[in-house]
Amino acid sequence: MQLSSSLSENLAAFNTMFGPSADYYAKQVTLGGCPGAILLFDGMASLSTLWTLLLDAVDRADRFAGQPQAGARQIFEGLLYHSDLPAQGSPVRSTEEAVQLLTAGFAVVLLDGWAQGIAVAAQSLQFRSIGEPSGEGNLRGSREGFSDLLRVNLSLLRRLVRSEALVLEVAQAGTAMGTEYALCYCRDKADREMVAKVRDTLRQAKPELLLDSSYFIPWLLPVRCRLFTPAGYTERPAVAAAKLCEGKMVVLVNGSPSAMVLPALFAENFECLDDYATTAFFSSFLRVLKYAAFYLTIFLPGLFVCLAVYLPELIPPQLLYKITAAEKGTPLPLFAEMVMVILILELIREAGLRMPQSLGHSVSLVAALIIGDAAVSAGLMSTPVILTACLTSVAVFITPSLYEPATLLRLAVVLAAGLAGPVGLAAVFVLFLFSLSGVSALGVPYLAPHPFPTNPLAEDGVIRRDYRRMSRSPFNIWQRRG
Amino acid sequence: MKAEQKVSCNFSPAALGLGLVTAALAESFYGPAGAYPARSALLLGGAQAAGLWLLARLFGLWAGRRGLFGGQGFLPRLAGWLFFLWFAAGFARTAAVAQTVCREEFGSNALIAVLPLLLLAVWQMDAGALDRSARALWWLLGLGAAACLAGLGEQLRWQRLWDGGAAGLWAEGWPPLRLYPEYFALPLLCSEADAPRAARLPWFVWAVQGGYALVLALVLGRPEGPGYTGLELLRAWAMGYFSRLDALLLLIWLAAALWRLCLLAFVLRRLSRVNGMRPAPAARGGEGAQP
Repeated sequence: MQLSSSLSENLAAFNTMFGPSADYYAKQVTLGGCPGAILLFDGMASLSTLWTLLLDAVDRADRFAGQPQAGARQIFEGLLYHSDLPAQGSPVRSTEEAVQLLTAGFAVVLLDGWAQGIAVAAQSLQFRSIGEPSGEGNLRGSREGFSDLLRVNLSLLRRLVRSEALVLEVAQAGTAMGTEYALCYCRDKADREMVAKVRDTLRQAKPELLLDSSYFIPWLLPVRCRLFTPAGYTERPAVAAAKLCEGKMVVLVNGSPSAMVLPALFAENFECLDDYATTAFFSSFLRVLKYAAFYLTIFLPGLFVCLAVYLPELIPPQLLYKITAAEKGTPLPLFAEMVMVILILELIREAGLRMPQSLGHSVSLVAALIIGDAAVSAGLMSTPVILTACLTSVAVFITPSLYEPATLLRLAVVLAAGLAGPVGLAAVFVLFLFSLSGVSALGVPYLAPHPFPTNPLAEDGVIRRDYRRMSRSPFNIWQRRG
Repeated sequence: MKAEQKVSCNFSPAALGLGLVTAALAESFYGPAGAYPARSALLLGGAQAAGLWLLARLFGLWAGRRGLFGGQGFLPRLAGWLFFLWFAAGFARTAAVAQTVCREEFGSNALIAVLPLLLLAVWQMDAGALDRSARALWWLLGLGAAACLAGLGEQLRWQRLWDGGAAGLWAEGWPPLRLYPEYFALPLLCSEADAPRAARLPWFVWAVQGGYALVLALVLGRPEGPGYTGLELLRAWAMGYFSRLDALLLLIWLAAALWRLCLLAFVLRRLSRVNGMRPAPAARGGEGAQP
């Protein structure tokens, strides 16, 4: 709805919208002899800042003193175009526009007799400080993490990528909450066609709520069933900046510190900032360990069940005797025991995650007592099974971004190996491969080009080469298109 | 040529090679051990592979020019159906060997239940996904073969190569020649650019069968009894405490065999579409940010 030239009509319209809200602030003032009003939301815009900026400029300065009483138009133009006010460049013409600016922390000044308003930047939004993200540990490099406020996050990116090529497009999602999001990319590195495609998809997406960038996934990568998602997430501006420089796109949503990176490769789940800060040899060693841990966490329990139940001849005799002795004392078959331990460990993890931190220690203590001691003492579970399940549960945290698929796959492998033996194990392995190789985003296969490359000694694959050598030919994601 | 490009599955030669290596390994596992001397398998088998290579290349060129796969007319239709039957026979043979391995080595008939589920799960998968997953299986097979050789290292005796005396190269005649449909369906299976490299597929089979015969001869010589099969080589494999590692390699082979079955099912589906049994699917990729 267009703003009216009558101040009372405008105020009545805003009063209808926000009147009952406690944080809505509307004060009628006289500006240069002309009746006007200041609108803002308490806590989002600072009244004292506005007062200093606006009223000093209008009332105490003798801009309009000694002149015949100025009309609303002259005052409006004087404030908008000929004053030092930090005002939005273009006038506010409609109530929708005014609402958008008010909810972004601006103050809106309306004048009687003029059907346009002035948006003054007097924001004083409260937000979580820029701290280190708890989910992405690093020894070296930046300690900064994204905050919850979109504008602050964009400024963090801009500070790191100091180039005119960085584009930060902000738009409002078509949700009831009207949440803002940003599509960030480097103009000279990202694929224009793909940027346009993502931009259109985001514009057309109609999530009921938009509380995190991951809410866009069903629109960006629509598929009925998928284990691996070819999108990465980071809370570190440094990581997001590095991805932007590789030609990828970053989607940020107001209110969430989690940035979505598109497209992502499977191998990136095994990389971190520290990899490039240490020697190539050591980071390669760590990467091999991470890959081993990931496959271990998926296949070890299933392999254990398959070998112990169906192929005991493959287990060295001494180990087999110990497993047999431990299993003799338990009432459940080994397969059921393994499934039970895995499910219990998942329950404990979920409880530890959702529970208030003050109670977390109690959960750990109870879990340790139940699993570690009581279950074995009561003869409900055998030690080798608990050891195997615990080892895999710990190993999964080496690649936290793959936690969801790893957990589901681990359970699937145990079920297949327990029910169908070696055939089930082989079949689920093939399915695992297909679930990895069948995923792609924006034309870039998730498996490209490593971890099973045609050339295993790729510059930055399962192992990496010297950083100086790698820097000679910068990586760009669009070279990996299938 | 345009019609041919539309139907091509665009598999890489490495992916097709994996399927053939799997089939060749199955032949070696259940073929009679030492029926043909290693020398004969390597030299005469090499000559056969060279002949097949040439034949596959020439046939591929001719088939591409004639639009044998996906073209209109009696000949493409006949070829389409013949290759459909040939690939179906390949599928049945691979499934039968896999079932034999499961029953005899693992004491399980689970494949009968697992295979339909697997095929159902991968029914809509694209060729690219099959192709990319082949790389992982190549690595796994390579590691398995390396471990196998390491386990057999102490049992290799070069003098066993000459145990059979001075029998001539031709004493046992030509080793049996197995023809696979992949050799001659190159315009259907891979892109035009990959066709020359894919024509070398017979060499994959020769390398596996020749290598297997050679290692078998080095470890066992020429077994006299008729009941010995190539599996004896795997059974001879031991590493310290681990005595029955043959099951491990068979497990890897089984994964590769399941992969080959998925590949053949994909090709059969494509051929059925080419032959007009099913309408071509609507183009995908307009939705979201997926290709």
